[in-house]
Amino acid sequence: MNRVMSGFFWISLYLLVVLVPVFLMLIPPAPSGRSFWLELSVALGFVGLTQIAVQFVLIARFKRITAPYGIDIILQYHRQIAMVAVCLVLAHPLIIVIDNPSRLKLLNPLGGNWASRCALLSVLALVLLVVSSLFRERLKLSYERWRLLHLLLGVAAIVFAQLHVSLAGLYTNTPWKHAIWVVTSAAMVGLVIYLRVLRPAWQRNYHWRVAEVREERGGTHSLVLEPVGNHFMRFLPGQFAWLKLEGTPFTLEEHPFSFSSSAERTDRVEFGIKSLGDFSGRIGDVAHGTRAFLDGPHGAFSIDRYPAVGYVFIAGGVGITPMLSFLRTMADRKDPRPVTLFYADNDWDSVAYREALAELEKQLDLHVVYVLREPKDDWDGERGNLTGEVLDRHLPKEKLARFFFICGPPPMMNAVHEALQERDVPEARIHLEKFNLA
Amino acid sequence: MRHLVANIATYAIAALLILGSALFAWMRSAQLVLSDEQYTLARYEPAPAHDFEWREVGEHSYASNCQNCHGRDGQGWDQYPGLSDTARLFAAPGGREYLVELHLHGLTSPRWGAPMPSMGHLQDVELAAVLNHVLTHFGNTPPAGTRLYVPEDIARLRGPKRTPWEVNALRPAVQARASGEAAPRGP
Repeated sequence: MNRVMSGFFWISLYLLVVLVPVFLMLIPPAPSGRSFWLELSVALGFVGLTQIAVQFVLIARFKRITAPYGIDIILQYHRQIAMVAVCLVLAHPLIIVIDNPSRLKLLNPLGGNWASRCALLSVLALVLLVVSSLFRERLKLSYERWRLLHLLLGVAAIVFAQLHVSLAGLYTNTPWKHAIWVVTSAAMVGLVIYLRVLRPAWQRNYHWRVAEVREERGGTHSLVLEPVGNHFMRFLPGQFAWLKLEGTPFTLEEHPFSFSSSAERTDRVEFGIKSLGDFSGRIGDVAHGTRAFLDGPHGAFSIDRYPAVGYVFIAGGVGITPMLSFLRTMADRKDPRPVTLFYADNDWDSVAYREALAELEKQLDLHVVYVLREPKDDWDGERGNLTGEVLDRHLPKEKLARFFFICGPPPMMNAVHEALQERDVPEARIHLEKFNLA
Repeated sequence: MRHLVANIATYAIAALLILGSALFAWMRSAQLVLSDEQYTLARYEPAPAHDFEWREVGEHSYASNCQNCHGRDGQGWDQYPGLSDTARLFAAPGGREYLVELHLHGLTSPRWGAPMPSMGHLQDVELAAVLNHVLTHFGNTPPAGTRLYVPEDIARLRGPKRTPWEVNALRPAVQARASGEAAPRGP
């Protein structure tokens, strides 16, 4: 099945799966119908609940589901459809109260019944979820705390929503209708247990150890891992894995990093990690032999997924790591295809991996263009930001036949993306790695 | 490319979800009209007052319109009152009209958490029948010698719209029975 078909297949299946339980409630014996608006409100509530349930599947990192899209897309979808779900859920009581304002007393936690109280708790959990996710940095929540909070609030939202459905009970008026909802909600809570307990327990048998921590330029470190026992990591160049260092596999402290090593080496993998935050700032102090756990490979940002006659790689800062994986893999495969690499960084001394790139230029048909923002006076290469003009000066004439892979800070990616669109590069040839998975 | 396609897919899915909800709502509201009106009109109208046969349609209508909230045996649950006091209300002065008014316009009172929705969409025949059904079931006994409802009783009271609060003001003062409806279980 090709990727487009697979995508359509999953979207159709998705709509089927989320709408069928709602429509099954039409089967007699059904309670007498009510006015359109009241029924619409109920339908929105139920559809909202199905979307909450879907979130648990989305974040479970099932490779079969994420592979056709790339897990960054899945997480983007998670953020978007969760907002849709919250809006649907909020519309449910809103319409009910507008339809008959005397129902307003159900919104008073002391005045309503247990069904309405559970609904209030569920909505409260959802609102807190949204606020803590949208404003995590402004609320000064650390990533790990936020993750734990996110997990607990998510479970609270679905459990109280299900209690609301069960206690209100109007639509789940036969045991089998009731069972559909109860079983689904329970399964979603089960997924959380699978993701946070069962899978880490299984991960424990496949752990890795730190073989080397190498300091690179610009506050970047290469973290080299080797498997403990007889297992390995088969990945595509450009993919990434979630990394847990030290402690147990049950920790919530887990960070995604791109492989920077060749995909031809599955028993010794390397990550390029720049000191940016709390976790990455401590990378330099990690001792040899430290236990590590990997969840991967994930991601769709790979030259192996999009074969072309030649490539243009555009990297900003630590965005070089997937490109390094591309180039090292190509070197191992003795790949003859031409590559132009644009590499934007601050100054010449902080350009990580520039020695490795010089080596790769000898082995491959590779041309590296460095673009430095604050170079010393004697720098005779490109200066300033990576603009369309810089691309124009160095892009090969047959650029339209090449595929573009872009990874870097979001403003840079957007600017380059726009510049390429202005130069009539077809959208299908531009691939971005949006590395904001939190 | 992937991100663009994904955005389009998200909008499409969100739109289809709302469309699906609207379809569900439309089908549900259609279930209302189809089950009640056609069934009732085809079998029971026109019916002269002297041989108004309400038993069968009353039972049917109770099952489809009232049972969800008031319970199969009129016992009520949670925020929904039981119906065992209906005959006492019926017997009180103004009670006969009050029972019809609360069905035509709905009722909101401080006594119960959930409001009684308006049942004004029901035909006169069906409303009279279901009122009679309640007045003769669930421990209710209409006072000897009183006439039960006929469709004309309903038609006479169909007038300008009242709010559910105005309806509550029409409620006759009846002494609450110890086990009666004036003791909501909720806090």
